[in-house]
Amino acid sequence: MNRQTLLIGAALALVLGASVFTMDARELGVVTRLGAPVKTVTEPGLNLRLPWPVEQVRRYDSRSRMLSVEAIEVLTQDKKNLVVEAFAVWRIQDPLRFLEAVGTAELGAARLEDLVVSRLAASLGQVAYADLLAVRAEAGSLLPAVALAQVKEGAATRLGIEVQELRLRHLGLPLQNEQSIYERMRAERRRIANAYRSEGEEQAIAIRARADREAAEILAGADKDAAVITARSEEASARLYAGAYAQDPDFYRFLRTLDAADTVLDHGTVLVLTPDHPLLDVLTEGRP
Amino acid sequence: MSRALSALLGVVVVAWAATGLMVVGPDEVAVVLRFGAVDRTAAAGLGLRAPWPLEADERVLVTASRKAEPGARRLLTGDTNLVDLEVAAQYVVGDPVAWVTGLADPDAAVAAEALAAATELIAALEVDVLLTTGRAALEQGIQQRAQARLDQLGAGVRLTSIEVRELAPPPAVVDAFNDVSSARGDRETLALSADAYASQVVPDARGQAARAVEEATGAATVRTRVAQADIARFAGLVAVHEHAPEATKLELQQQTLAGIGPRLEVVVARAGTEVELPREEGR
Repeated sequence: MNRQTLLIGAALALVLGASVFTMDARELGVVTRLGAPVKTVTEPGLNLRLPWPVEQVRRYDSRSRMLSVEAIEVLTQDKKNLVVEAFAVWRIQDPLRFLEAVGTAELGAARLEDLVVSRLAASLGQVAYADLLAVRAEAGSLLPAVALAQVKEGAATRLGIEVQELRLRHLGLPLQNEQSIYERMRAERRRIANAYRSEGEEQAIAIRARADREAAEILAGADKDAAVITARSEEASARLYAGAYAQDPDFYRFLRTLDAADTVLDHGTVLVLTPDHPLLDVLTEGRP
Repeated sequence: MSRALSALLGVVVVAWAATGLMVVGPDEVAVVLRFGAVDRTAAAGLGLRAPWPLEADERVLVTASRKAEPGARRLLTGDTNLVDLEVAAQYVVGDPVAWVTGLADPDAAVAAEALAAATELIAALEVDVLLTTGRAALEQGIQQRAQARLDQLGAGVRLTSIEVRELAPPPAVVDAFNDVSSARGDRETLALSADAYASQVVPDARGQAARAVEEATGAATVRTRVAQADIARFAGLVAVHEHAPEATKLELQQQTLAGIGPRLEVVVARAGTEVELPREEGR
């Protein structure tokens, strides 16, 4: 009896152990009975199933994954070539649909990539180049909102995938188009450099001219001041001489004439006199 | 036999229970999963959890600085120029539970979000703004955008810094950009040399002006003094002249002529004859 209960107990424990399974926080699962899906397991923890080989659990990673779309060339609405790279963040939302549609994560990623690339090319084809650059960039996303909406919808209904984010991570030009941009960039730089240099010359000319004007004004002002000073002193001395003249005009004239003679007849002046001139004795007094 | 068996069983049970001991390192946080579901986190130190398969733990390095490098790109700017850009993002684990359960490859997500934010910001800026003042603003903008989006994804990541390693015009046009900076320098130089000219010319003029006024003032003083001296002499002579007019005049005349006489060359000639004038000496 003891032995019998032990056996039964052991058998029960085995069956129970084979029926209980844990689901990790990083997993999603589908329980299949003889290959046909019967239920999905989306909550982590302990779960029950019929023991192998009747029921099996397909497990998937529930974490968000990155899908990188490497450089692809697209045409904008106005037929400009662009090179873009994109990425999508996705996770399995409905493991049953995912299992039925694609089965493996690798295949799921490949199918999602096809969807993303086709929607990307189509939505960028409806945007003008200029809008894409200036307007979209300020709006916070380079892709039209419709692109994400369409990818979201397609991935959810067809693949059981939730696309959390779809974004461009590179926006550039094809190599063969770079050259023309470079030429334009060069021309623009040349214009800016020329403008700087002309501005510099303009400023320099203005500064020099202002300095020259200031200097001329200062000199002219000083000339005027000096002229006023000179005029005042001449006036004052003239008044003095006039006062003296008024005292005795004849004598004054006499004295001034003598002074003038003294000044005018300077060293080396040649005086031609007749032998009987009265000045001769006076001037040659004491000479040999 | 039965005793030995139970002893063995006891040892096995103790060993099993001991697997529930957790030594969590100082730079770690342990995320404890009960039957696969996140139950709690345990900080650094000695911790306990139920033994496998009841509970398990996942260690996360929370203090380690991680780096995501999306690689260099040649991007379009808002005014359809091209710039070469390379960014790198530094980050740490912000939320260990989200880190464990959120993303399969957080590093790839950080790299992609940083590059996407850079691409968007650069597409909204003009190349001049970008290259002159944009670097710090760009780093800040990338960090804000990328952080918000990573939070939205529940990545459990905290960006600590964005480093713009390269932000430059492509090599094919870099000389044209350099010429613009040297032109900007030329502008300063031209203005500065004009300033130097001005700071010489104006003080020079002031000096000349001061000299002209000083000279005029000096000359005026001399003129006045001379006049005063003349007047003083005249006043004295007038007094003498009143007393003896003819004698005074004669005396003054003689004095002047005596003063002049020695300076003159006197040539005596009769009226109507030719005179040979003396040569000038050393003039």
